Amino acid sequence: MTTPVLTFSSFTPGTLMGRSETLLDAAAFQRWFELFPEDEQGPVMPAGMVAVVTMRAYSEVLTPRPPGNVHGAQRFEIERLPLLGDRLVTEFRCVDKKLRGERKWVTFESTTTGSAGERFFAGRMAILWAA
Amino acid sequence: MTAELARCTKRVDRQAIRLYAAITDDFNPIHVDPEFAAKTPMGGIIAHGMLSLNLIWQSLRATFGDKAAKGASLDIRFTRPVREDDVVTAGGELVETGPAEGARKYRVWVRNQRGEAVIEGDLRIRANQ
Repeated sequence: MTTPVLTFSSFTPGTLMGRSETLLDAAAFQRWFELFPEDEQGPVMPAGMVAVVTMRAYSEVLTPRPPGNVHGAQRFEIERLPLLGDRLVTEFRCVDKKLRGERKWVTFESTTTGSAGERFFAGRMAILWAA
Repeated sequence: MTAELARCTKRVDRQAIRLYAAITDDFNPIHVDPEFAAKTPMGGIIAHGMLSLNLIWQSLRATFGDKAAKGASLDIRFTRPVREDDVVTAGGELVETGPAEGARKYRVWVRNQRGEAVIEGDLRIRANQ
């Protein structure tokens, strides 16, 4: 049985959509440096990888998605950056949805913590949902 | 007091877009499928907005060093799509200081090779950077 695609009507603001766990390993750093070699700074995760952790969690938690979603806005708050080898947990919550004309906007908040619950960073993203 | 952030530039070619898709596991066809993307209101492939967003973090680091992102907050809108082979540049100007000693707000942007803003927003950093 296939899981139905998440549509605008699937979302209820205030709902925890799920959580994703990831190990910040050397392979993840290496893939990033392949694209942004100037970001190397030892064992500290580059700030740009906040987006990687967030978007990988988004992809894992919010699935299946309709094709053609568009990212409209993003907020990040960095408490501190994790280190190579840290295990991260990211939670995604739907916090708002609005129809503006025919455009379906859904807003999510994410929070990324360490395995002991220490807070690393948080995000808020507005997505123009395609279906 | 640093009035402007250092500028950082990158060419966003197809290889970069596909690499970013793999890194983030975001294979939305609007980024990787030319035929699908051509039929959308975007009219063709667009890059992940977050790819270009990294240039703002690079500007921050180039200006204030490795620890500058600690305690920072970034609030932006993706105002225009980035197309394959666009060359994007990030920068920012100081617009506010305080209330805490050393706290600063920069109006930040990423612009394409035509000078059009593709990302606009605010970056706040903590004291003592």
